[in-house]
Amino acid sequence: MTDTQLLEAITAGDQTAMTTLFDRYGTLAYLTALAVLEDPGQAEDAVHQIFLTIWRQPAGFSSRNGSLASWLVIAVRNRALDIRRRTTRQELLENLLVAEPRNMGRTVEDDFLIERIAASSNALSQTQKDSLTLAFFKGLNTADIAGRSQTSPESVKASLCSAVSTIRKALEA
Amino acid sequence: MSEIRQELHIVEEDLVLYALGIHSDARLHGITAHIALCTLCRAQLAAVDRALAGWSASQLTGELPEGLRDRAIARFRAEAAAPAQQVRAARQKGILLGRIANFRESLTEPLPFQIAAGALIILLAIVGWDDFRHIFEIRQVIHQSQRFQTEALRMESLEAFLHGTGGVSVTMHPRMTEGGEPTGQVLFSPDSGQLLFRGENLPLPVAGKTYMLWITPLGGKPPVSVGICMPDSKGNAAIILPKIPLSIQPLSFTVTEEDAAGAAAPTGPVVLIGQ
Repeated sequence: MTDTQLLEAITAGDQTAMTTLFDRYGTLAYLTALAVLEDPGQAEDAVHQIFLTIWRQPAGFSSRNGSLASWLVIAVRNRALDIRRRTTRQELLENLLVAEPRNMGRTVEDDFLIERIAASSNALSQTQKDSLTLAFFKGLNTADIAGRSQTSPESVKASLCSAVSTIRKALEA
Repeated sequence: MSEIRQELHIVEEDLVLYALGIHSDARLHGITAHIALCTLCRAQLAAVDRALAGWSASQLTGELPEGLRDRAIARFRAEAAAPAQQVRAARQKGILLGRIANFRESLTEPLPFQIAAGALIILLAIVGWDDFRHIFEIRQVIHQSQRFQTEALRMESLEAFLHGTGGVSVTMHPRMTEGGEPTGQVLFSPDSGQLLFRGENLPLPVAGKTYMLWITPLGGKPPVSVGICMPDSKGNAAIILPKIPLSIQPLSFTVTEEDAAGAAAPTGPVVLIGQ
Protein backbone atom coordinates (compact mmCIF):
# COMPACT_ATOMS: atom_id res chain seq x y z
CA MET A 1 0.00 0.00 0.00
CA THR A 2 1.45 3.37 -0.98
CA ASP A 3 1.54 6.38 1.34
CA THR A 4 -1.18 8.02 -0.70
CA GLN A 5 -3.46 4.98 -0.30
CA LEU A 6 -2.67 4.89 3.40
CA LEU A 7 -3.58 8.54 3.82
CA GLU A 8 -6.83 7.98 1.92
CA ALA A 9 -7.66 5.10 4.26
CA ILE A 10 -6.78 7.24 7.30
CA THR A 11 -9.01 10.01 5.95
CA ALA A 12 -11.81 7.45 5.88
CA GLY A 13 -11.14 6.74 9.58
CA ASP A 14 -9.35 3.42 9.11
CA GLN A 15 -7.39 2.80 12.33
CA THR A 16 -5.57 -0.16 10.79
CA ALA A 17 -4.10 2.16 8.16
CA MET A 18 -2.88 4.42 10.96
CA THR A 19 -1.20 1.44 12.58
CA THR A 20 0.44 0.55 9.26
CA LEU A 21 1.66 4.11 8.89
CA PHE A 22 3.12 4.03 12.38
CA ASP A 23 4.81 0.70 11.68
CA ARG A 24 6.30 2.19 8.54
CA TYR A 25 7.61 5.46 9.94
CA GLY A 26 7.28 5.30 13.72
CA THR A 27 10.86 4.20 14.32
CA LEU A 28 12.28 6.83 11.97
CA ALA A 29 10.15 9.53 13.62
CA TYR A 30 11.08 8.43 17.13
CA LEU A 31 14.81 8.24 16.42
CA THR A 32 14.70 11.70 14.82
CA ALA A 33 12.93 13.15 17.86
CA LEU A 34 15.30 11.35 20.21
CA ALA A 35 18.34 12.73 18.38
CA VAL A 36 16.98 16.25 18.91
CA LEU A 37 15.66 15.93 22.45
CA GLU A 38 17.90 13.24 23.95
CA ASP A 39 14.99 12.40 26.22
CA PRO A 40 12.95 9.26 25.47
CA GLY A 41 9.80 10.61 27.16
CA GLN A 42 9.84 13.91 25.30
CA ALA A 43 10.73 12.14 22.04
CA GLU A 44 7.70 9.91 22.48
CA ASP A 45 5.53 12.98 23.06
CA ALA A 46 6.81 14.62 19.88
CA VAL A 47 6.09 11.46 17.87
CA HIS A 48 2.59 11.15 19.33
CA GLN A 49 1.86 14.78 18.50
CA ILE A 50 2.92 14.43 14.87
CA PHE A 51 1.07 11.16 14.29
CA LEU A 52 -2.03 12.51 15.99
CA THR A 53 -1.81 15.52 13.67
CA ILE A 54 -1.87 13.12 10.72
CA TRP A 55 -4.77 11.20 12.26
CA ARG A 56 -6.75 14.38 12.84
CA GLN A 57 -5.96 16.10 9.55
CA PRO A 58 -4.87 13.51 6.99
CA ALA A 59 -6.30 15.62 4.16
CA GLY A 60 -3.65 18.22 4.95
CA PHE A 61 -1.01 15.80 3.73
CA SER A 62 -2.81 14.23 0.79
CA SER A 63 -1.71 17.02 -1.50
CA ARG A 64 1.89 16.20 -0.74
CA ASN A 65 1.67 12.83 -2.43
CA GLY A 66 4.81 10.83 -2.18
CA SER A 67 6.70 13.09 0.19
CA LEU A 68 5.28 11.88 3.47
CA ALA A 69 8.54 10.40 4.74
CA SER A 70 10.55 13.58 4.29
CA TRP A 71 7.64 15.61 5.65
CA LEU A 72 7.51 13.39 8.72
CA VAL A 73 11.23 13.63 9.42
CA ILE A 74 11.26 17.41 9.07
CA ALA A 75 7.99 17.83 10.97
CA VAL A 76 9.11 15.63 13.87
CA ARG A 77 12.45 17.40 13.95
CA ASN A 78 10.73 20.80 14.02
CA ARG A 79 8.25 19.67 16.67
CA ALA A 80 11.08 18.30 18.78
CA LEU A 81 12.96 21.60 18.44
CA ASP A 82 9.76 23.41 19.43
CA ILE A 83 9.57 21.30 22.55
CA ARG A 84 13.16 22.28 23.26
CA ARG A 85 12.59 25.95 22.62
CA ARG A 86 8.96 26.09 23.75
CA THR A 87 8.09 28.09 20.68
CA THR A 88 5.95 27.52 17.59
CA ARG A 89 8.12 29.39 15.16
CA GLN A 90 8.53 26.35 12.94
CA GLU A 91 4.81 25.88 12.26
CA LEU A 92 5.03 28.02 9.21
CA LEU A 93 7.86 25.94 7.77
CA GLU A 94 6.03 22.69 8.41
CA ASN A 95 3.02 23.93 6.54
CA LEU A 96 5.01 25.18 3.61
CA LEU A 97 6.70 21.90 2.81
CA VAL A 98 5.76 20.99 -0.70
CA ALA A 99 5.35 18.04 -2.98
CA GLU A 100 8.20 16.85 -5.12
CA PRO A 101 8.25 14.80 -8.29
CA ARG A 102 9.92 11.65 -6.96
CA ASN A 103 8.19 9.24 -4.66
CA MET A 104 9.67 9.84 -1.24
CA GLY A 105 7.18 7.52 0.35
CA ARG A 106 9.50 4.59 0.35
CA THR A 107 12.80 6.12 -0.54
CA VAL A 108 13.88 7.53 2.81
CA GLU A 109 13.67 4.15 4.44
CA ASP A 110 14.96 2.32 1.42
CA ASP A 111 18.14 0.59 2.53
CA PHE A 112 19.97 1.13 -0.71
CA LEU A 113 19.27 4.84 -0.65
CA ILE A 114 20.26 5.16 2.98
CA GLU A 115 23.51 3.40 2.15
CA ARG A 116 24.10 5.80 -0.69
CA ILE A 117 23.43 8.80 1.53
CA ALA A 118 25.58 7.31 4.28
CA ALA A 119 28.41 6.90 1.75
CA SER A 120 28.05 10.52 0.69
CA SER A 121 27.93 11.50 4.35
CA ASN A 122 31.28 9.79 4.84
CA ALA A 123 32.67 12.03 2.14
CA LEU A 124 31.77 15.09 4.20
CA SER A 125 34.48 16.76 6.25
CA GLN A 126 34.22 16.60 10.02
CA THR A 127 33.40 20.32 10.07
CA GLN A 128 30.53 19.76 7.64
CA LYS A 129 29.20 16.82 9.64
CA ASP A 130 29.39 18.76 12.89
CA SER A 131 27.71 21.83 11.40
CA LEU A 132 24.90 19.76 9.90
CA THR A 133 24.37 17.82 13.12
CA LEU A 134 24.23 20.98 15.23
CA ALA A 135 21.92 22.77 12.79
CA PHE A 136 19.55 19.87 12.10
CA PHE A 137 19.37 18.04 15.40
CA LYS A 138 20.03 20.93 17.78
CA GLY A 139 18.53 23.80 15.79
CA LEU A 140 21.57 26.01 16.31
CA ASN A 141 21.96 28.96 13.95
CA THR A 142 25.13 29.80 12.05
CA ALA A 143 26.35 32.24 14.71
CA ASP A 144 25.93 29.66 17.49
CA ILE A 145 27.70 26.98 15.47
CA ALA A 146 30.47 29.44 14.57
CA GLY A 147 30.89 30.23 18.28
CA ARG A 148 31.32 26.56 19.06
CA SER A 149 33.69 25.80 16.24
CA GLN A 150 35.60 29.10 16.47
CA THR A 151 34.96 30.02 12.89
CA SER A 152 32.80 32.63 11.14
CA PRO A 153 29.05 32.35 10.48
CA GLU A 154 29.82 32.73 6.76
CA SER A 155 32.08 29.65 6.90
CA VAL A 156 29.36 27.71 8.67
CA LYS A 157 26.83 28.78 6.06
CA ALA A 158 29.14 27.67 3.25
CA SER A 159 29.87 24.44 5.07
CA LEU A 160 26.17 23.61 5.50
CA CYS A 161 25.42 24.48 1.90
CA SER A 162 28.21 22.32 0.48
CA ALA A 163 27.21 19.43 2.77
CA VAL A 164 23.59 19.53 1.58
CA SER A 165 24.77 19.88 -2.00
CA THR A 166 26.90 16.74 -1.65
CA ILE A 167 23.96 14.78 -0.24
CA ARG A 168 21.64 16.06 -2.95
CA LYS A 169 24.06 14.90 -5.61
CA ALA A 170 24.17 11.45 -4.03
CA LEU A 171 20.36 11.31 -3.99
CA GLU A 172 20.00 12.48 -7.55
CA ALA A 173 22.75 10.28 -8.97
CA MET B 1 23.18 32.69 -16.75
CA SER B 2 23.84 31.68 -13.17
CA GLU B 3 24.10 35.35 -12.18
CA ILE B 4 20.65 36.03 -13.59
CA ARG B 5 19.29 33.03 -11.72
CA GLN B 6 20.76 34.27 -8.47
CA GLU B 7 19.08 37.63 -8.91
CA LEU B 8 15.67 36.13 -9.59
CA HIS B 9 15.65 33.16 -7.19
CA ILE B 10 16.70 32.32 -3.68
CA VAL B 11 20.33 31.23 -3.59
CA GLU B 12 21.05 27.71 -2.35
CA GLU B 13 22.72 28.88 0.87
CA ASP B 14 19.58 30.76 1.90
CA LEU B 15 17.37 27.80 0.94
CA VAL B 16 19.44 25.46 3.10
CA LEU B 17 19.23 27.82 6.10
CA TYR B 18 15.52 28.29 5.47
CA ALA B 19 14.93 24.54 5.32
CA LEU B 20 16.87 24.13 8.54
CA GLY B 21 14.72 26.85 10.12
CA ILE B 22 17.76 28.88 11.12
CA HIS B 23 17.50 31.76 8.68
CA SER B 24 17.64 35.25 10.15
CA ASP B 25 14.20 36.59 10.98
CA ALA B 26 14.84 39.77 9.00
CA ARG B 27 14.52 38.01 5.64
CA LEU B 28 12.25 35.14 6.62
CA HIS B 29 9.06 36.87 5.53
CA GLY B 30 10.45 37.80 2.12
CA ILE B 31 11.80 34.30 1.49
CA THR B 32 8.47 32.76 2.49
CA ALA B 33 6.67 35.06 0.08
CA HIS B 34 9.10 34.24 -2.72
CA ILE B 35 8.78 30.49 -2.14
CA ALA B 36 5.02 30.82 -2.13
CA LEU B 37 5.15 32.43 -5.56
CA CYS B 38 8.06 30.65 -7.21
CA THR B 39 7.60 27.06 -8.41
CA LEU B 40 11.31 26.61 -9.06
CA CYS B 41 12.33 27.67 -5.54
CA ARG B 42 9.60 25.47 -4.05
CA ALA B 43 11.02 22.51 -5.95
CA GLN B 44 14.53 23.43 -4.81
CA LEU B 45 13.33 23.68 -1.21
CA ALA B 46 11.64 20.28 -1.49
CA ALA B 47 14.92 18.81 -2.78
CA VAL B 48 16.81 20.33 0.17
CA ASP B 49 14.19 18.95 2.58
CA ARG B 50 14.54 15.57 0.99
CA ALA B 51 18.34 15.67 1.31
CA LEU B 52 18.11 16.69 4.96
CA ALA B 53 15.51 14.02 5.73
CA GLY B 54 17.59 11.39 3.95
CA TRP B 55 20.77 12.47 5.68
CA SER B 56 19.15 12.46 9.11
CA ALA B 57 17.69 8.98 8.45
CA SER B 58 21.18 7.74 7.54
CA GLN B 59 22.54 9.04 10.85
CA LEU B 60 20.02 7.28 13.05
CA THR B 61 20.28 3.81 14.48
CA GLY B 62 18.13 2.17 17.10
CA GLU B 63 14.69 0.78 17.69
CA LEU B 64 11.44 1.86 19.23
CA PRO B 65 11.37 1.48 23.01
CA GLU B 66 9.24 -1.37 24.25
CA GLY B 67 5.60 -0.46 24.52
CA LEU B 68 5.80 2.79 22.53
CA ARG B 69 4.02 1.27 19.51
CA ASP B 70 1.21 -0.03 21.73
CA ARG B 71 0.89 3.32 23.48
CA ALA B 72 0.77 5.15 20.15
CA ILE B 73 -1.90 2.85 18.77
CA ALA B 74 -3.88 3.15 21.99
CA ARG B 75 -3.78 6.93 21.58
CA PHE B 76 -5.11 6.73 18.01
CA ARG B 77 -7.93 4.49 19.25
CA ALA B 78 -8.64 6.85 22.15
CA GLU B 79 -8.68 9.75 19.71
CA ALA B 80 -11.07 7.86 17.43
CA ALA B 81 -13.35 7.24 20.42
CA ALA B 82 -13.14 10.86 21.58
CA PRO B 83 -16.80 11.80 20.90
CA ALA B 84 -18.04 9.01 23.18
CA GLN B 85 -15.69 10.22 25.92
CA GLN B 86 -17.01 13.76 25.59
CA VAL B 87 -20.52 12.45 26.18
CA ARG B 88 -19.30 10.65 29.31
CA ALA B 89 -17.58 13.83 30.56
CA ALA B 90 -20.82 15.78 30.11
CA ARG B 91 -22.65 13.13 32.05
CA GLN B 92 -20.15 13.41 34.91
CA LYS B 93 -20.78 17.15 35.11
CA GLY B 94 -24.51 16.39 35.48
CA ILE B 95 -23.73 14.11 38.44
CA LEU B 96 -21.74 16.91 40.11
CA LEU B 97 -24.70 19.32 39.83
CA GLY B 98 -26.97 16.68 41.35
CA ARG B 99 -24.62 16.42 44.32
CA ILE B 100 -24.76 20.16 44.94
CA ALA B 101 -28.59 20.06 45.03
CA ASN B 102 -28.55 17.23 47.58
CA PHE B 103 -26.11 19.16 49.74
CA ARG B 104 -28.54 22.07 50.12
CA GLU B 105 -31.20 19.70 51.46
CA SER B 106 -28.72 18.32 54.05
CA LEU B 107 -28.40 21.75 55.74
CA THR B 108 -31.67 21.08 57.64
CA GLU B 109 -30.21 17.89 59.17
CA PRO B 110 -28.95 17.42 62.87
CA LEU B 111 -25.40 18.39 64.09
CA PRO B 112 -23.43 15.24 63.09
CA PHE B 113 -24.85 15.54 59.64
CA GLN B 114 -24.01 19.26 59.61
CA ILE B 115 -20.38 18.43 60.52
CA ALA B 116 -20.38 15.96 57.70
CA ALA B 117 -21.93 18.66 55.53
CA GLY B 118 -19.14 21.08 56.57
CA ALA B 119 -16.54 18.56 55.47
CA LEU B 120 -18.47 18.17 52.27
CA ILE B 121 -18.42 21.94 51.72
CA ILE B 122 -14.63 21.93 51.98
CA LEU B 123 -14.44 18.97 49.65
CA LEU B 124 -16.78 20.61 47.19
CA ALA B 125 -14.79 23.85 47.39
CA ILE B 126 -11.67 21.89 46.44
CA VAL B 127 -13.50 20.06 43.67
CA GLY B 128 -15.07 23.32 42.54
CA TRP B 129 -11.71 25.07 42.47
CA ASP B 130 -10.26 22.16 40.54
CA ASP B 131 -13.15 22.35 38.09
CA PHE B 132 -12.69 26.10 37.77
CA ARG B 133 -8.99 25.63 37.12
CA HIS B 134 -9.77 23.04 34.49
CA ILE B 135 -12.25 25.35 32.82
CA PHE B 136 -9.57 28.04 32.76
CA GLU B 137 -7.06 25.60 31.27
CA ILE B 138 -9.57 24.39 28.71
CA ARG B 139 -10.27 27.98 27.70
CA GLN B 140 -6.56 28.51 27.17
CA VAL B 141 -6.35 25.37 25.08
CA ILE B 142 -9.39 26.45 23.06
CA HIS B 143 -7.80 29.84 22.48
CA GLN B 144 -4.55 28.20 21.37
CA SER B 145 -6.42 25.73 19.20
CA GLN B 146 -8.35 28.56 17.54
CA ARG B 147 -5.09 30.37 16.85
CA PHE B 148 -3.59 27.25 15.22
CA GLN B 149 -6.82 26.69 13.32
CA THR B 150 -6.73 30.24 11.97
CA GLU B 151 -3.10 29.79 10.97
CA ALA B 152 -3.86 26.43 9.35
CA LEU B 153 -6.82 27.89 7.45
CA ARG B 154 -4.64 30.74 6.27
CA MET B 155 -1.99 28.32 4.99
CA GLU B 156 -4.65 26.10 3.37
CA SER B 157 -6.09 29.17 1.75
CA LEU B 158 -2.64 30.17 0.51
CA GLU B 159 -2.00 26.67 -0.85
CA ALA B 160 -5.37 26.56 -2.61
CA PHE B 161 -4.73 30.01 -4.03
CA LEU B 162 -1.33 28.98 -5.39
CA HIS B 163 -2.71 25.83 -6.98
CA GLY B 164 -5.87 27.45 -8.24
CA THR B 165 -6.65 28.80 -11.67
CA GLY B 166 -8.18 32.06 -12.76
CA GLY B 167 -5.63 34.21 -10.95
CA VAL B 168 -3.87 37.19 -12.44
CA SER B 169 -0.09 37.33 -12.33
CA VAL B 170 1.48 40.72 -12.90
CA THR B 171 5.13 41.69 -12.96
CA MET B 172 5.69 45.27 -11.89
CA HIS B 173 8.51 47.54 -13.00
CA PRO B 174 9.63 51.03 -12.11
CA ARG B 175 7.50 53.61 -13.86
CA MET B 176 10.61 55.58 -14.71
CA THR B 177 13.26 53.09 -15.77
CA GLU B 178 16.09 54.43 -13.64
CA GLY B 179 18.38 51.43 -13.91
CA GLY B 180 15.38 49.09 -13.79
CA GLU B 181 16.40 47.50 -10.50
CA PRO B 182 13.31 47.46 -8.25
CA THR B 183 10.78 44.83 -9.28
CA GLY B 184 7.50 43.54 -7.93
CA GLN B 185 5.30 40.55 -8.55
CA VAL B 186 1.60 40.30 -7.84
CA LEU B 187 -0.52 37.18 -7.91
CA PHE B 188 -4.18 38.11 -7.59
CA SER B 189 -7.48 36.25 -7.77
CA PRO B 190 -10.42 38.63 -8.34
CA ASP B 191 -12.95 35.93 -7.38
CA SER B 192 -11.48 35.13 -3.98
CA GLY B 193 -9.90 38.52 -3.32
CA GLN B 194 -6.61 36.78 -2.48
CA LEU B 195 -3.36 38.49 -3.27
CA LEU B 196 0.35 37.92 -2.90
CA PHE B 197 2.87 40.68 -3.49
CA ARG B 198 6.63 40.39 -3.47
CA GLY B 199 8.95 43.33 -4.09
CA GLU B 200 12.69 43.17 -4.59
CA ASN B 201 15.46 45.75 -4.60
CA LEU B 202 13.15 48.45 -3.33
CA PRO B 203 15.14 51.41 -1.99
CA LEU B 204 14.40 52.32 1.62
CA PRO B 205 11.91 55.21 1.61
CA VAL B 206 12.96 58.47 3.21
CA ALA B 207 12.18 58.97 6.90
CA GLY B 208 8.47 59.33 7.60
CA LYS B 209 7.52 57.63 4.33
CA THR B 210 6.53 54.10 3.34
CA TYR B 211 5.35 52.23 0.28
CA MET B 212 1.76 51.24 -0.39
CA LEU B 213 0.34 48.82 -2.96
CA TRP B 214 -2.86 49.77 -4.80
CA ILE B 215 -5.22 48.03 -7.17
CA THR B 216 -6.73 50.30 -9.79
CA PRO B 217 -10.02 48.66 -10.86
CA LEU B 218 -11.43 48.67 -14.36
CA GLY B 219 -14.13 51.21 -15.19
CA GLY B 220 -12.46 54.29 -13.75
CA LYS B 221 -13.15 53.40 -10.14
CA PRO B 222 -10.78 54.83 -7.51
CA PRO B 223 -7.71 52.76 -6.49
CA VAL B 224 -8.16 50.30 -3.64
CA SER B 225 -5.50 50.09 -0.94
CA VAL B 226 -3.91 46.65 -0.54
CA GLY B 227 -1.62 47.65 2.28
CA ILE B 228 1.76 48.92 3.33
CA CYS B 229 4.87 47.17 2.01
CA MET B 230 7.91 48.40 3.89
CA PRO B 231 11.11 46.86 2.50
CA ASP B 232 13.74 45.33 4.75
CA SER B 233 17.39 46.32 4.66
CA LYS B 234 17.90 44.14 1.55
CA GLY B 235 15.07 45.86 -0.29
CA ASN B 236 12.64 42.94 -0.04
CA ALA B 237 9.00 43.52 0.80
CA ALA B 238 5.98 41.24 0.86
CA ILE B 239 2.24 41.34 1.40
CA ILE B 240 0.61 37.96 1.93
CA LEU B 241 -3.16 37.48 1.71
CA PRO B 242 -4.27 40.93 2.88
CA LYS B 243 -7.94 41.68 3.47
CA ILE B 244 -9.30 43.29 0.33
CA PRO B 245 -12.81 43.48 -1.14
CA LEU B 246 -14.04 40.71 -3.45
CA SER B 247 -14.70 40.98 -7.19
CA ILE B 248 -12.29 43.78 -8.02
CA GLN B 249 -11.43 43.52 -11.71
CA PRO B 250 -7.93 44.98 -11.84
CA LEU B 251 -6.73 47.37 -14.47
CA SER B 252 -3.32 47.85 -12.88
CA PHE B 253 -1.28 47.48 -9.72
CA THR B 254 0.75 50.35 -8.38
CA VAL B 255 3.25 50.88 -5.58
CA THR B 256 3.49 54.47 -4.43
CA GLU B 257 5.47 56.25 -1.77
CA GLU B 258 3.18 57.59 0.95
CA ASP B 259 3.33 58.94 4.50
CA ALA B 260 4.33 56.30 7.04
CA ALA B 261 0.84 56.43 8.59
CA GLY B 262 -0.63 55.30 5.26
CA ALA B 263 -3.00 57.02 2.88
CA ALA B 264 -6.62 56.57 1.83
CA ALA B 265 -5.75 57.22 -1.82
CA PRO B 266 -2.46 57.25 -3.71
CA THR B 267 -0.85 60.66 -3.53
CA GLY B 268 2.88 60.05 -3.67
CA PRO B 269 5.21 59.21 -6.54
CA VAL B 270 4.74 55.86 -8.33
CA VAL B 271 7.58 53.46 -7.60
CA LEU B 272 6.29 50.35 -9.42
CA ILE B 273 3.46 49.78 -11.82
CA GLY B 274 2.16 46.76 -13.70
CA GLN B 275 -0.95 45.80 -15.63
